[in-house]
Amino acid sequence: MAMSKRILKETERLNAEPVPGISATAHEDNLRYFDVIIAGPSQSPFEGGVFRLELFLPEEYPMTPPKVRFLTKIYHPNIDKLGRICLDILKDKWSPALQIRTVLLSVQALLSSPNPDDPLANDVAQHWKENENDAIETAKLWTKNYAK
Amino acid sequence: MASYFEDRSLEDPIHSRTKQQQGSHRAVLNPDLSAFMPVEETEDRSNRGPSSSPHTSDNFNRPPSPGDFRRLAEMFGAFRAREDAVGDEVHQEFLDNLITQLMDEAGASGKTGPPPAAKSFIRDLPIVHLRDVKREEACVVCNEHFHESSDQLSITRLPCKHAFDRDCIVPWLELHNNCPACRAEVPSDDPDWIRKKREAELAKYAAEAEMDQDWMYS
Repeated sequence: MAMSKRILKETERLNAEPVPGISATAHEDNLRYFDVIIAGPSQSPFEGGVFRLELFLPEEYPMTPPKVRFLTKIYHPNIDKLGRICLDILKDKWSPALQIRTVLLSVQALLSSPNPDDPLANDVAQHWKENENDAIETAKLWTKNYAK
Repeated sequence: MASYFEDRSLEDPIHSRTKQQQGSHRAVLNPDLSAFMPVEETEDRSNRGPSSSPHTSDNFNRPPSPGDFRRLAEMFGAFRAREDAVGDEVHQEFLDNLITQLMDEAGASGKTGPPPAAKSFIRDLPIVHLRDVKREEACVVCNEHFHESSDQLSITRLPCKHAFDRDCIVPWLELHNNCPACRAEVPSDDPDWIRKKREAELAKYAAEAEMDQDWMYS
């Protein structure tokens, strides 16, 4: 099975046709490890921020999902303080038809539409539900302070 | 299976400390090292029921199961609970990270999500001839067009009509019973899956029977 071929193809395409607002660069010494940068989407509390993530393709990829984690501190109801992301396609809704590209697009979309009803960071989700405007202000402040 | 410390005739520092200091707090430290070290002897066996294979001594040679990672994570979680009183933030964060990674390992390797496809279903996957595959069709797992990269006998189709290289789809079906392209379900041997399926069918028949009655008497 030419799975490393798939990884190479994905990497090539990420470089040749990058997704707007997203960059993913493979480590030279480990082609399964990517440094990812996602620009905070416009119209979101994360606008203007530059968020760093790490993405790792496990040995079983694409049979199991990539492991993705925020390295930049972010105030978001579906991302906890360790940077772990609550996103179904990274867990039980994974399919090998998905790719690095689609995963990162989903993460970008999650920044645009936080979902406090399916929280990972409970205190943030609570804040978001009780006083959305205030939570958004905090998210903007964190974006300004940490996501540069 | 001897522990790291037993192998080296050393005193197990955590274990001995646990025994000395934690007499009254043993419930917090559950499972402690002595509970998780002889992995096969503890929870695993009771969970597997009568069909479980006899205990073997090659614990070190078998790949770690998700349960192993979970037990380790629980153990460090117990340490963290004790750290709360005295521990510093760096130490806390280190434990947080460690636990996260262990839990991720436990959740990885395809153990979350739908159950594996039925063995008989995988065995009986049809052989699809290359001439019956359209020129533009590609396998969504490897992203290769069949006409460019596949052999005459290496292609198959799921009931939903999506085509795959056999080498690409079988490892997926051995983990999960759905189509990577459209998530259409295929049969599984998983007892829970079979039970839920049956319940859903019964509910459907019941609903249909009710509708028939409505029709007769309206």
